[in-house]
Amino acid sequence: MLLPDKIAVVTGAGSRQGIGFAAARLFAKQGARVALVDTDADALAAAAADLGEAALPIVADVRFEAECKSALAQVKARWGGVDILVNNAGVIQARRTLAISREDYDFVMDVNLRGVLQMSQQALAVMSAGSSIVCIASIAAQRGGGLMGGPHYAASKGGVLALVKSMAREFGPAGIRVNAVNPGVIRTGMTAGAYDGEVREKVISTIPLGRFGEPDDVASACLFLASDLSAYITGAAIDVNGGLHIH
Amino acid sequence: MAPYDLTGMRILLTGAAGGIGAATARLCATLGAEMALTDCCDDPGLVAELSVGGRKHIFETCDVRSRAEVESFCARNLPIHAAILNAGIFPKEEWLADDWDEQFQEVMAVNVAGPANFVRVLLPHMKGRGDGRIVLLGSIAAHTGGTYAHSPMHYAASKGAIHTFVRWLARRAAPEVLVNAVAPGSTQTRMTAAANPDALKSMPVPRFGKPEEIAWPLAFLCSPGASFMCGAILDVNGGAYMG
Repeated sequence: MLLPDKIAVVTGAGSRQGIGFAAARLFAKQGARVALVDTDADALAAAAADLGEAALPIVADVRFEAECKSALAQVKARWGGVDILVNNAGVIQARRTLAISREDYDFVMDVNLRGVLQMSQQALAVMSAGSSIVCIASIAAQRGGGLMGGPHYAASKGGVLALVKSMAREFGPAGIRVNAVNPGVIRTGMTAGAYDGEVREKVISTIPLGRFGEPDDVASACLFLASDLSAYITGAAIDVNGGLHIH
Repeated sequence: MAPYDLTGMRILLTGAAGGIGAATARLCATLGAEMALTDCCDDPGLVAELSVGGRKHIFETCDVRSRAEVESFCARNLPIHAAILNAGIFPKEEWLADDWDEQFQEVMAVNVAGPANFVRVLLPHMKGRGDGRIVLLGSIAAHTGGTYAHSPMHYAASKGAIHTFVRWLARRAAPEVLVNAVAPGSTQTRMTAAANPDALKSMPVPRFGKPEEIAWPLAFLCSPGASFMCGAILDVNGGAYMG
């Protein structure tokens, strides 16, 4: 067991086709108790049922500070503390630059970046030495937004990477590590149907490993960063993109 | 330990007698791998230590600078499912010294040509089998130009070459063979014995890394858990460098 008796919080964990649920499932298999946070109550109930007693479903919208505070309070009340936070909740929005409205920008930034900051603030207030925060950023932050997420999505994920490094510097002396995973194109509920057949094949042809990634590919990197196996890694990012961005 | 289980894999590891090498050999064996170990010196007792449960580990000396010795070592030890090309030297001679040119050639021969010699043999073998992993050792020095004021240029340049080698090789090796690297920061080994720990106090993780903390990322990159990673360089440096 790599996470014996650890308490983990995973946001955006409601979809059983998603990265968050894959991470939560893997963490539970490795001995953790996992709070699954999402806005979709029905999806959360089904996801938590899959994981059994190890799971605590919490309905919360990471855009709102009060809901982040309440989520962490529920975890602390149930299990006493938090050792791991996976900031996975995120939205994509296919837009060209000139079509991004103020509302679009605010929505994407609030979920993808403000949400990461707010959940991290609440978790850091109760974390102790040996804890780990993993933030899901994106290949889009590294190479610019693509077909699925617009420039504002890429900017939000670029902000996540900067936040990761800053939090890693600030909380390193306290023994808390903060890292990121940069997924490439991953087959999830969020991306299903984003490409039609011809575009899909064209995109796959640009990926050296010849396939989209699976949620478990990203979850595995999350587990590595969440556990003591990565005890000398902080402020870093693991690229899980099949070679789509080599830098 | 799934998804990091290495059962059924035969892993070639160079520089096996050193601090990071020995820790990696022990860890990979614990995770289920059979090890083909090599270094320029004799086996410090690793085969005897690791040979439990019927697995047949081997240790042979091999000069990584010699294409012929590398080809011969590999030919005797196939199949190889993953190669961790860890052998490297870190001489500290000043670049104004009279023998710097010879030192530069030596560092490049061991640190760059050495891994290339192994890749030249193992890549077609792995591609022919339809799968494989190659893990190279980069360094924080490739990012920063050297952690300490007196870090030798030839070492930093050799590790910069390794980072470029990863990027060059990864696309050519895919999709069958996954090529990635670990870039360690300051790690407590014979190589850093003379380093001043005070220089690390301002780091987020204010200490040397332990060899085991480099071994785990190396093993991770060989494992099923890293099946969608290609051309990645994993920084393991306690936050000393965040790129």
